[in-house]
Amino acid sequence: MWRKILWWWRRDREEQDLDEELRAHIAIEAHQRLEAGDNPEEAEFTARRAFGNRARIAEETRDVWRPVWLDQLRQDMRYALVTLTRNPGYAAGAIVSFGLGIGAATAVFSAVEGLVLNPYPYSGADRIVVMSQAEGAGPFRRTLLTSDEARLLTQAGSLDAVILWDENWMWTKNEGVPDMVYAGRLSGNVFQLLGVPPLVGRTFAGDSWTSTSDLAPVAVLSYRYWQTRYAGSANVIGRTVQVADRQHTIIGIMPERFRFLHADLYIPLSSDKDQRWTLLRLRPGVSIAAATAELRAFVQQFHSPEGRGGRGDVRVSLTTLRNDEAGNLHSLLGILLGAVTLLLVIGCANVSILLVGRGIHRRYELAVRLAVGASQARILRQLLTESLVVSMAGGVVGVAVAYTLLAVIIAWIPPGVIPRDMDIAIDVRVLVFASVVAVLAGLAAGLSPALALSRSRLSAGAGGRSEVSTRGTARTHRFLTLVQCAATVVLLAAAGAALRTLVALTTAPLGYDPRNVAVFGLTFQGPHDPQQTAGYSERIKSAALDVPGVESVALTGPAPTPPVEPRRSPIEIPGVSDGSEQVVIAEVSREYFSTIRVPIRAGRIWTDSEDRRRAHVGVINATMARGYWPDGNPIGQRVRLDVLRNNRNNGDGSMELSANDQWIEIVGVIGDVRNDGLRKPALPEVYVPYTLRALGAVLLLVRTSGAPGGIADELKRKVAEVNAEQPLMASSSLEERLSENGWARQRFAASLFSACAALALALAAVGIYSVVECAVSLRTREFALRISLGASNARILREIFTSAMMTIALGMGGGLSLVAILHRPIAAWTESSLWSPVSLTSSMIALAVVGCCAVLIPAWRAATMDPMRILRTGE
Amino acid sequence: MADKLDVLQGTLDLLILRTLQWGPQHGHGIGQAIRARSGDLLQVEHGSLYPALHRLRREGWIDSEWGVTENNQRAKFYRLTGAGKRQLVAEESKWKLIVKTMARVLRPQE
Repeated sequence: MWRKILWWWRRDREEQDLDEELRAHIAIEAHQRLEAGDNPEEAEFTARRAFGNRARIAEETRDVWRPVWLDQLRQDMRYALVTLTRNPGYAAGAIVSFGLGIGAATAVFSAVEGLVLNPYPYSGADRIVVMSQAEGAGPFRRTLLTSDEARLLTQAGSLDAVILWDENWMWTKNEGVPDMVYAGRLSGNVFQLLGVPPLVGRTFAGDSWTSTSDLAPVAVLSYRYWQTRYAGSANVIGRTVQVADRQHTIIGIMPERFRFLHADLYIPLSSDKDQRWTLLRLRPGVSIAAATAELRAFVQQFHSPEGRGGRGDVRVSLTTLRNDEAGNLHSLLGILLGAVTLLLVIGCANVSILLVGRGIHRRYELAVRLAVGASQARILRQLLTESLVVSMAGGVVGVAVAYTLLAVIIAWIPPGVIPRDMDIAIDVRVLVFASVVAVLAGLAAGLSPALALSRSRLSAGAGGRSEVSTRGTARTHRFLTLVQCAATVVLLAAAGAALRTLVALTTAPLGYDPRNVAVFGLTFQGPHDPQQTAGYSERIKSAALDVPGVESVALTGPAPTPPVEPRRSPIEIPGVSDGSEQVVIAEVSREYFSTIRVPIRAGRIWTDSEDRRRAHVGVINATMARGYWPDGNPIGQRVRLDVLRNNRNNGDGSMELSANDQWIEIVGVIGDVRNDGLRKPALPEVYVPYTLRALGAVLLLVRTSGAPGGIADELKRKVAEVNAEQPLMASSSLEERLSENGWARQRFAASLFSACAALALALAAVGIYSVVECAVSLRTREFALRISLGASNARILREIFTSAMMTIALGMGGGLSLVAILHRPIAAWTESSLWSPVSLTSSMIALAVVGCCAVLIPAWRAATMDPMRILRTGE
Repeated sequence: MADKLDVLQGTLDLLILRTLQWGPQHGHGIGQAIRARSGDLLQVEHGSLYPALHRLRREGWIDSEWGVTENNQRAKFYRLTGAGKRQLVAEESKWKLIVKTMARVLRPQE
């Protein structure tokens, strides 16, 4: 087979060679005749005659070389290329239609591949699971474990390993300049579980989360941090990097693809009583269901009275890492895949329209070829080859489109939308996908026109403008237009739904005023004694207040609307809740509420002096007040917060505060702030003075009188006056953070769907235009005749316009029914229903307007032509 | 018709291979040699000769090379390959068997 194909490629040379060989034969014959005494001309002539038909002999010899179909394919391809280059407009239209469709499909497929099919570089990634739990009828939340609990959990037979981690901004020094570093503190078995070998050096290992002793101060760098901070220098191994208050020796560098937590560096996690994030790995062959049942018993045990106390009614759920992290993407990707499929259908319909339209002009040629003996199959194959050549070219364009599209999309993807350690790229599988799609699209688009055209009969086609052929074409065209319009309506409706969700999100009441608030990250250089920290923070706060334009300054642990799950703590309220329920907890300074303008509903905020002397007071939000004291007054009530139990620093392990320290008195109620993402209603929340807990990093919220952009430099100067060693991470404004964390995802989805819809609209417009153009060009003579006989231009225009708009209207009807059918099954995936009068009406109007324009241009041209010129010249 | 063609084809292959056993030869020369050796009884059609040559080359039994005749004319010379020599032996013994068998079948009864 290969040899044959090789022959085929070298064909030109071989053919020339054969020709020369046969000529040489004749020359030898002629020479011999000359020597035998013939005169030169005669010798030449007889030699030729004796040889026979050279072309036929060459042809018969060539047949020995290679299979006939390959040769015909070559012929067909050459012919297709010639016809394409002769009709550049048609070629461009078809290739662009294919290219956009295939490009969009390929881009989305590569996202699906990267995010769903093959997302992680970790070994045994399909056995790594995330554990969530729910108490009573409450919602599922990620399980947090202490070191002791993790150690207990490893005894579960279904588990291979349990890892713990913590991630935080931490203090560091970069070339003597204070800086911040995003550090993942990992239990010693994390690297072992993820199974990714380091690029350079080694990783730390061991069950370090079970030991309480001091850990070796080592650090493993991420590839990104190694590149940015150390410029990829080879001799970083063995150097030290300061993290918080300790020097850590760099022992290894992870490869680029390893982006666990997207941290800058990884340091060992010491064991203490704090709850940490966790991942579990199942033993091979253990089902999720079996593991869930076993782990439920363990988790129940953690909640037993001798543990943290509780009713013991705990449900456990395990999800694979892939489903957990990409789970929220599945719906988006699923719908997107549907959208690009529709786009591809529209693109194919466009090519079909163009093929049919062009076929009309070729009917005569095809009919003649059929009449002189070409088989229908041969013609069919040739026409299909043509559409395949176009679709292959479209595929190449499509991959280029996908490549640029992906680059743009990836640059646009807001942080937090894609799990941090996933990767999207165009690889071999994506390219295979693109080629398969291209071939299928070529066949789909080419088949019906080819079938129709290959049945051309000389009787029908030879006249060039037979009534029969026109009617068949018109029917095909009308059907294709219908399909395009229906698909476009669905895409417009999807874009409308996405946009409505976005509007709903951006206009959702936050419960606070995010405008004109700058946010800075502040890390403390360890060991934090809360008392000291309080004094220090007060100095920073007053320094910030000195900056011109600053109205108020507040400190807070979490952001008002945290980008990830809000931090929660079990709560005990005498007579109401026994400690099995959890509330959101926020450590803030008392100016927090006035700075972001949260209204006070009842009672008061704690005072300056209460802040400073670490009074055990707190403020709750309205949801909590309603939920726990539906009839009574929460003010003056005492609640116990579990999180306040562990009120000591990680490193020193000195003092354990008495149980009394966990109790706080509620002094006020404030309005609800969206604390569980922008979509969900506020969860019960308790605000306590930030001085009650030792925080390694806080946010500095600064309300300015104008836009908060300009104060960063001045603020840094002022803070440096307090402490030159204090790093300050200039972040953005509160509004920008919201937009990045909350709105960006939806804005991203909305722009993707809008782009799809706009593309669909454009493609459909081209399709409608081509259909009308083709119909008009077939009837030019008829129109000319009628105009010359007295028909008015308006009448002709009306006739073309009505028939085209009827088809578009029918297509819209089809689209509406499609939306009606689809909106229920995909309702679970979308936040706004497709079936909304507002967006459907505007979709209809958009399509109608675009359709109108696409129809009017060729219709106008037909109605205003010069009838005499047409009739005289015949064209 | 098809049967006859097959027999001819097989024979022609044998004739060509046999002719090339004496040394490389071009298409014209092969045709002439066959005619001469058969005492002008066998006329090889050019329309059969060249396809046959190219088929044999594809089978790898002969190889070709451009060269110059003694009259200083350019021509494509074919020569027997190792595989071709083995094929010739096989074809020859097959042919002898056919001839012997045919002769036995056609022998007049005693």
